[in-house]
Amino acid sequence: MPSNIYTVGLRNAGSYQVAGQPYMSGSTTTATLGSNVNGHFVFPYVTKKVKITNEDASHHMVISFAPFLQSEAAGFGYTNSASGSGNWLYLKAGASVELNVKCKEVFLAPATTNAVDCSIYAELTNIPVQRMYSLDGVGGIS
Amino acid sequence: MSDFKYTTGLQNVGSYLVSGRPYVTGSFIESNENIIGTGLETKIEFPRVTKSISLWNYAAGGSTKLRLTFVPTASMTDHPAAGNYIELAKDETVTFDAKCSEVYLSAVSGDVHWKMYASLTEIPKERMYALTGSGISE
Repeated sequence: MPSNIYTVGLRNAGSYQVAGQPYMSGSTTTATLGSNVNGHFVFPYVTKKVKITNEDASHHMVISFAPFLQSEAAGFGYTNSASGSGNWLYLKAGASVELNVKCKEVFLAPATTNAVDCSIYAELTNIPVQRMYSLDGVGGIS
Repeated sequence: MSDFKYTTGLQNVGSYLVSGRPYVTGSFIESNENIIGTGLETKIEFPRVTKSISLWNYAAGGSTKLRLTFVPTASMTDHPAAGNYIELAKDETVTFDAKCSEVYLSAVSGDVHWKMYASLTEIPKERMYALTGSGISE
């Protein structure tokens, strides 16, 4: 008897139309400019939408889909980083952003040498993360 | 044997229903790298057809404005009087659904620091037709 179990793939439109499984988390980043050490969020399933809030009252932060610093890229399993090419978003203190995106991880980092409190809410599909392709070295990412 | 490969087209509904592949670009914030200088224009070419676009104006100057158009402003009829652009004041942001393969950003009254997020479909950009005419360039 075959043991293969079919699962939904990245292009299964219905997976994005049904309401998502909730994912909530948060962190205080390190005070190292651009460091993702405390700002790496890994999702259990592929996302359909991600909302990120900078909970800090006075310090700004950076959002990327690859490690921000080249010096940390290998530690996260990447070859390329987001910092050198402007492939990152800037989230001011107290602001939030909602992104329609399929991904399996995001990287948050302080935009200055001050730690930043951040929170994240994601709507997840039931698509296994193994289905998601790598964004390492992709245009507009790193 | 034919090496033709079928790809999704512009009318493929499923391509817009699934969440998009991320595309992030923009200037640096604390330095002048990739900023758009006063009166200048920058072309953003996407690797795939978009489904939605978000744009932020992080200009330092209070009266600095950032404009987005779908064609170069020089090719537009009666620009800017015809109003075929989206304009952001300092610290403003906008998100809109649109299928396109390129946009143009211009700094109207001062240097602009900016950020853009695009949610991309998997539709090859070569499938997108050239945008022009009413509501675009005239």
